[in-house]
Amino acid sequence: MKYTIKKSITLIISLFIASILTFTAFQIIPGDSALNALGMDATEEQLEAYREEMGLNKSLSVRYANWLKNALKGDFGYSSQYQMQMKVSDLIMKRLTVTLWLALLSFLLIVAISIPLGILSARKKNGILDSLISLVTQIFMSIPSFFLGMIITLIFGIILKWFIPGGYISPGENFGKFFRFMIFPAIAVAIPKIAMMVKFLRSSLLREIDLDYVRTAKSKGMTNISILFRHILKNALIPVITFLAMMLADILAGTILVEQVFNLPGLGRLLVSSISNRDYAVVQAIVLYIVSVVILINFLVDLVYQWIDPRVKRD
Amino acid sequence: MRTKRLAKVLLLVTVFTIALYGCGGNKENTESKTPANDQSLTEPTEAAQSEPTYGGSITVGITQDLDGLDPHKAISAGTKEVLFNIFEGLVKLDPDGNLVPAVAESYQISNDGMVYTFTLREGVKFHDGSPVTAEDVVYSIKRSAGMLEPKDPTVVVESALSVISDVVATSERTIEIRLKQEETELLPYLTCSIVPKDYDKLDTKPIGTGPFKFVSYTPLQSIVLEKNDEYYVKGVPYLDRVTFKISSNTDAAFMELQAGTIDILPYITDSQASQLPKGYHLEAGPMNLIQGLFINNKVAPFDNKLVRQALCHAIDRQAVIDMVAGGRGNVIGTNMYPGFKKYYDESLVNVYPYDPQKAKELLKEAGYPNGFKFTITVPSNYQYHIDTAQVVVEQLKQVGITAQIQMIEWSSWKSDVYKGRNYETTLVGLAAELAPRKALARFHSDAENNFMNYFNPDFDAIYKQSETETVEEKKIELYKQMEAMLTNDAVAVYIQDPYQMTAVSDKLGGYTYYPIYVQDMSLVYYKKGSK
Repeated sequence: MKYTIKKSITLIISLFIASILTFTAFQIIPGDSALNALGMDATEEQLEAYREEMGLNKSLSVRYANWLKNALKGDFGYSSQYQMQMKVSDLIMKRLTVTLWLALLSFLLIVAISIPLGILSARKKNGILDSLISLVTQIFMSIPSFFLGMIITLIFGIILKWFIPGGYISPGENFGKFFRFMIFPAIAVAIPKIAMMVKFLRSSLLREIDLDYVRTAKSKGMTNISILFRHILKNALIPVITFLAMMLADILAGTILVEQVFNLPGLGRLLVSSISNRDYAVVQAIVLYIVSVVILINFLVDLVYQWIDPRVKRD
Repeated sequence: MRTKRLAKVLLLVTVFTIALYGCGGNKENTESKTPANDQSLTEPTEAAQSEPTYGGSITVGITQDLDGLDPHKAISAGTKEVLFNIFEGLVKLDPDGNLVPAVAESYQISNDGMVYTFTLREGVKFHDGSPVTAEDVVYSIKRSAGMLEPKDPTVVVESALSVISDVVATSERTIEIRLKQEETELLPYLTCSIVPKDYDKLDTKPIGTGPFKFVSYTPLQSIVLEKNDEYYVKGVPYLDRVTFKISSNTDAAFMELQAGTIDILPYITDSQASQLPKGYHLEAGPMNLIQGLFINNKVAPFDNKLVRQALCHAIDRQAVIDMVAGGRGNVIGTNMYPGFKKYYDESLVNVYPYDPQKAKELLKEAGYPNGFKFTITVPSNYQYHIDTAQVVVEQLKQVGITAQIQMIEWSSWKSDVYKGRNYETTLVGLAAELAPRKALARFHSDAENNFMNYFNPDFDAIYKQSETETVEEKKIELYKQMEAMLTNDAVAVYIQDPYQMTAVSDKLGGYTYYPIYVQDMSLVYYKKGSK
């Protein structure tokens, strides 16, 4: 219990610091948001009126307090790139579905493919299959997702015509078509992560295999397979869960680039267009969201840890 | 066994992609030999000969999301070129840069230039079916000019309309625009969109009088338009439905073009133009952009006219165009949009021929016999200008001048260079505005956008005179005098009016270039037998 409380306090402090950093960072980068909103040839009076209207000329701390107060209520103001006609929270919610689906699909792909492959690789240690898996993972680990995305579009989209490049269909419109399209960007996100995961799982398993308890189990007469699934995997999974959690945060960030390649209307594209338009309200909200997700995932991992391995609590 | 086969397939795929990638590279190198280029020049005439048909739908690729649907609030050029299909003003620009009556049928300007009287065209309807009344027109112009109370701060006030003192409906079909002072170049700004009075859903469900009706808009995805059957111009539009698809960037959009899901893709790059897939052709036309090396006339050594003139002689503009755009561009010599042919003085192109020897002499005379160092600030998102700057840097080396390129973020460019005037030189393009005078207005000593810091009392005097000149010929004469002044003072190194290139499906005809950024879909049609 004490452990949980301690971790919760850390969580709240981290979130608070993150919110301050996010807010101030976007206040000090160069570029005038009034100028962006009104156009290059706006007169000084027009700019001043706009700043007044949007509260841009109040002090940093006052603006932060206002922003935080509203943000806690889920209100991030209006988007300036859409001429203050759209609520930031609405914009983000709509984009979020795409990004979350992409993250979920790629996460499932990673888990579903990398765990069997990792186990296989560890069991056939130094065999032909193992070396082949190592070779392929080595290659795919070094190819960034966005580049894989381009190659996938080229092969499966343009040459084989298995999907229409840029032909995103929203899940509400036709879920089957949506799924068929999303699987390709998900593969692009997943492949490098699968490669990493296989390597990680393999070495984690091999480390365990050499330990004393495995020898004991063997002398007890257990088969290799049941030792692997009943004892080794359980122990080997602890570092793997950390790795998966870190990866989840990474996937959420990684989708940003892949969304550009596949032309998905997700959070990443919103982020990029908001940055180039100096749409502070949106950028702040998205960055805060990403930071919060990372912090929350870490918090959950800490909790899961102590649940899997009670020894953690005492440290 | 299975995994082995999988591995083999994966290996094959990798090899295959590497091979493909290699092919892509080759294509770029043999650019000038690809037949696509040669065809492109003959294509427009062929297109004009083929017979238009009615119906069909097309998808146009755009690479920037719309910044709003309300025509009085949108600022980005990318938005305006789409909204051109939905909204119209009292008058409207045609492809040759002339103003033709649109919602208005005719107009009269009083002799003293103080009152503009418009007669509305009969039978013009908004997309919701209601007729356009004089009240709607009064409301729209007042809204655009910021004269409505209470003021909506998100409406982008057109400052050129600030000379209006009042707009009144004198009868059901006539309106009068009264001015505070004489203004002879107001007409281009009366292209401002006519919207229904007190209609408050322009942001979400825009209603105009144009050839296309708004259907739907999904941010970051698409905007869909459909044919306005009751459009007052008979015979247009041809198409039933137009979808503007928003892509994240030109590369992604080009991939969709290769996959055949986009029919028209404007603003493609030179290397994309040489890789057009089968079934598409290239159309090219001048952008009406003033691309130049713009100089801060106030900082040393550029406060010396001789130095600026030396720069002009040191840069081979035709070579720049050949290098960056494969020759697709027109050399320019002064600060006027070349698309407005009446006002543009073409002879000024020859004032500073490429002459490195002359440049060196001028530098010696100015006190810099061994050249000097300076920076060229370029916005990092405009690859075209960066490429141009690189060629310019190389050319300047020939005369002993060392230029350095400094890339800067676009937003910072706007606030530091354009507003703050904190730079030495910058290489950008000045996009055409509606009124030709806008090209010259920025050189007036008091102009807020005089980012080149040009101060010349003689120029100011002629400018003042031109503002009130009502006789067109005299006005053109004054404009040309000002243009010559700018060229002779070498206020900047004017380089070129680049071409913009558009990939158009071979099935389509009627794609037309305008002197301003406009994607006019009302003239586009499917050729007979292509559907």
